[in-house]
Amino acid sequence: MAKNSIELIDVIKEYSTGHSGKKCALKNINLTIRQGEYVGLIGMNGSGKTTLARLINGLIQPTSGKVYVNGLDTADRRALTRIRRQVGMVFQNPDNQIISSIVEEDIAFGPENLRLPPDEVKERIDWALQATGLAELRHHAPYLLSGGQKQKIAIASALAMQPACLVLDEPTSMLDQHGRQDLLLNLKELNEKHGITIILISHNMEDVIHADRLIVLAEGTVCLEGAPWEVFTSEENLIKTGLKPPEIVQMANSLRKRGYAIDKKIISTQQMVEYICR
Amino acid sequence: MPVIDVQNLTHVYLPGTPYEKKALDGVTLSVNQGEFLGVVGANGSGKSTMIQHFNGLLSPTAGKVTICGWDTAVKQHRNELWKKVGLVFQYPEQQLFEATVFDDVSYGPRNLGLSSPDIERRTIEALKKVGLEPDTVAGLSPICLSGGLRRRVAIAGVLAMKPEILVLDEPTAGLDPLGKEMILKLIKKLQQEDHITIVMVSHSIREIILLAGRVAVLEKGRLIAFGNIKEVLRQECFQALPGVMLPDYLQLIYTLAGRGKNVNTGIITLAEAELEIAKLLEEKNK
Repeated sequence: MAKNSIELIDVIKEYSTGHSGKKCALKNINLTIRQGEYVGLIGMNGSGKTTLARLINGLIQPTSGKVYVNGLDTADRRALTRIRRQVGMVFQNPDNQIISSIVEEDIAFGPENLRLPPDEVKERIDWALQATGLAELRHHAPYLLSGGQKQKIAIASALAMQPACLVLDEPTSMLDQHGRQDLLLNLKELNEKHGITIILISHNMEDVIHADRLIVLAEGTVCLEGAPWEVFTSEENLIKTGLKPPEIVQMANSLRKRGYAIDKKIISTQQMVEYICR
Repeated sequence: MPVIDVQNLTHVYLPGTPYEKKALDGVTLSVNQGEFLGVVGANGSGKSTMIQHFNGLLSPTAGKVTICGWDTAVKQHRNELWKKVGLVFQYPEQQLFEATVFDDVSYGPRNLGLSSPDIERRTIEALKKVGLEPDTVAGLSPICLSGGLRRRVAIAGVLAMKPEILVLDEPTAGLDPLGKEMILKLIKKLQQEDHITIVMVSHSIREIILLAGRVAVLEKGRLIAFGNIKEVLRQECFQALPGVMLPDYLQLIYTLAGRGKNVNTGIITLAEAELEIAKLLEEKNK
């Protein structure tokens, strides 16, 4: 097991469903995510994305197989605190993880529990607020804010822990276009400037075009993997998993079928505009 | 006569405290019987606040809201309003609380004091409307259903109240593409076949384009555009609005038009956009 990566080896995860039934959420997953990588994890509801995320910071244990975070085994209870300091989680629903009645106190909760000096706590709050564009709302009450604003608080709270890896489960589901673009830019910057590993879970294909690598889950197995453009241009395979490429790529794929030679690496609106105007 | 009539509606949260916040500022609009109104706007623009006025959960700070002729500011009207207007909140599946799907969906009718055959009939009807097979799901616990199915159960619970107006707040948030499509089709069907008036809040203009007749655009509590979807799309203030998620293909077309390319900006579907791009590529190859 490597020191600087998240590794899943032959991971199987089963849940019991009531009396005797069992549901296999993940079937034999083998994955390595390098430190500093930006990975988009995509798949339908029920494909195992969230299960995979929860395995990574030891919230749940694999039924069989091993999960290592920077060399630490998530099955080792004594390592869990260290693992969770390295892997920050942002859950689907922000209401599930906001615990304080003032925005800045919520963000301070993690750093304070690391027993950091007050100056450093403040510094981290400032940075996290600024990175998520929440500076104005610092003294507000989370429950009076909108869904998208709460989602940003959850992200800021995770960032304040300065994790090596950030796992975000559908972080854009309640954000508007502006908030979504801001967040994606933030993530890209956190990844490039600070070397934080980003694992972004989404079924919105437009969200993951910045990723280095996409991992497509279907029924608990990895069924497609590669750079975003590679995954998007194998449209038939993607559709089999219940997903569709971004609309711009759908358009490019369809134009290509009609005989126009469009570069396969075009996956964003901006790239398409440049291509046409060139 | 409009079923929803909003005149100069202003709503201030926690007035007179340091947290005072004006969420709605002089909004005026109306919705006719059987219409499909889309409401779009950025996070915090006042969308959710506005729809909570439609069934009297909130009362105007200033202005007047009239629903099916009832003034929402009068407390005695509230019981009627709650029967007439079904409100489906964001992530409604989080409100499921009974042990079985049947009990959950029938919770509303039970509280109307109906007879048990009536309750059963309404429950089964509501489940069928959302595309669930009553025989297979009625006895199950909501917990063992997927997110998309649970959301349909939650919507069935509101439909069992037989509302004349159905208000949905981000009904597709958090669902995968197939789940989204299913919910959108269901909502459209309710409008077309059952003639229920629909108000749908979304930050995805893509969904509104495909379904709604008229659209209301909110920004910082103000109504900045209201009207037919094609007309609103053409307004520049709307295209520049940061909170609105225009589909990428429309953004592409508008950007190209801005760069002086000869494209038709009046289109609304992906297929139409593709034709426009094909035309451009033809010209380029000449």
